[in-house]
Amino acid sequence: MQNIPLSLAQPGMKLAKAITKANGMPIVGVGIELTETLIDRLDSMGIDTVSIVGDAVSASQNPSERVQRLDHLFRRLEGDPNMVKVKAHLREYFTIKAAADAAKQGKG
Amino acid sequence: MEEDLKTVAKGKILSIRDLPTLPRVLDEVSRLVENPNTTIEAIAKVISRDQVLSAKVLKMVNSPVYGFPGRISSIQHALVLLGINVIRGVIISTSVFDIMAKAMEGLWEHSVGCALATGLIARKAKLKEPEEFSVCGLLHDLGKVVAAVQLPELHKAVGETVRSQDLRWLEAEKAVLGFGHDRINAWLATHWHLPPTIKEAMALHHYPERAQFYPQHAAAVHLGDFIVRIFEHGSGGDDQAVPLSPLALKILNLKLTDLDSVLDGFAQDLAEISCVDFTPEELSPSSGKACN
Repeated sequence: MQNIPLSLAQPGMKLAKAITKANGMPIVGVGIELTETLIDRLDSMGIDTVSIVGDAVSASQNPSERVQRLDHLFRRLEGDPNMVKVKAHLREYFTIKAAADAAKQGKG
Repeated sequence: MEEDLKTVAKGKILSIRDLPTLPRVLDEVSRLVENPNTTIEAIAKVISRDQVLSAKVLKMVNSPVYGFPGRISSIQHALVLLGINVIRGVIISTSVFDIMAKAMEGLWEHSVGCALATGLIARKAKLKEPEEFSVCGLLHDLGKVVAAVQLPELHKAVGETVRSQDLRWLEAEKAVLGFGHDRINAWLATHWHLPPTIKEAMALHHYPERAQFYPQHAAAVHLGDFIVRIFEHGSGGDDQAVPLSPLALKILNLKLTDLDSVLDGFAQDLAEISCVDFTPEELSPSSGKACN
């Protein structure tokens, strides 16, 4: 379980805890999957933190996951040639790490 | 009118002094440091009086962030090894974040991660006293925490702007407040009499090329922030990579490929620093390791 700011909540994440109002009244139950509409509604209700299942937003040492996240992280930097170069380098770095991990697992 | 808002906001932010957040110890330590005849023993004695704080400081300095994992057994030892500036920075960050961690979810992890990455960058660039660089990383987003507590309504509006307009936190701060946490950092650093190295790193970690005196500190934190965001360890309030200053690597005399070993080191130590939570239950300073 992980507590994350609503600004980082994504459709598809599952709630690890029910969301309640300050007075304890439940709004959304545990186990419910977040949708775009639901996130917007929570936002308008002033909910700023949610508990989600797993650690979707946490540190990831898993290089193949890093490779997949690069496009998302750099989404507003695609027009910057310097950052495109940096991103390409990171992609190469994490891809090699992922391949090394896979090889290690294969042996193990 | 805009200037008025800024003055009001600044006043509110700086009234943090009145909050019970910063331990009295810090004032006493600052006073002692001003006196050139003060001994390390005297400073250590003052800090050690606050047992909970001492335990937290020892936990932090024994984490891999500072490069002496599990080897610092007393506050005096920490002062000798890391210097008073690092210890003051650790006291400020642990005290402020302790009470305010809830104000901004994920920011503590982001800050500790940035401290680790900044220290690794400083070591890679063969800079002297890398621990001081780490503490710059630890404090780099302090302005965000203080704003969250002192200006909760505006803080909420910044978060909403991040989400609705897909902005980075700094951009949203500028849109909502008219200034960013970098500016707040500069006020806080002056207010707490932090050394100029830490002040410049805190104030210019987004624009290291503007640093007049200590560009290496600002550039190291700039890269540290970039790395912790790439790994998405914790959260600085948004989920975007920050644009790198084209001069950041140059200032440190590093190449892009030099970052590879920094990334290696970061990934390696990440699991361990993830457990540095500063819960006060561990009062035994001899426990050494940050994670059990």
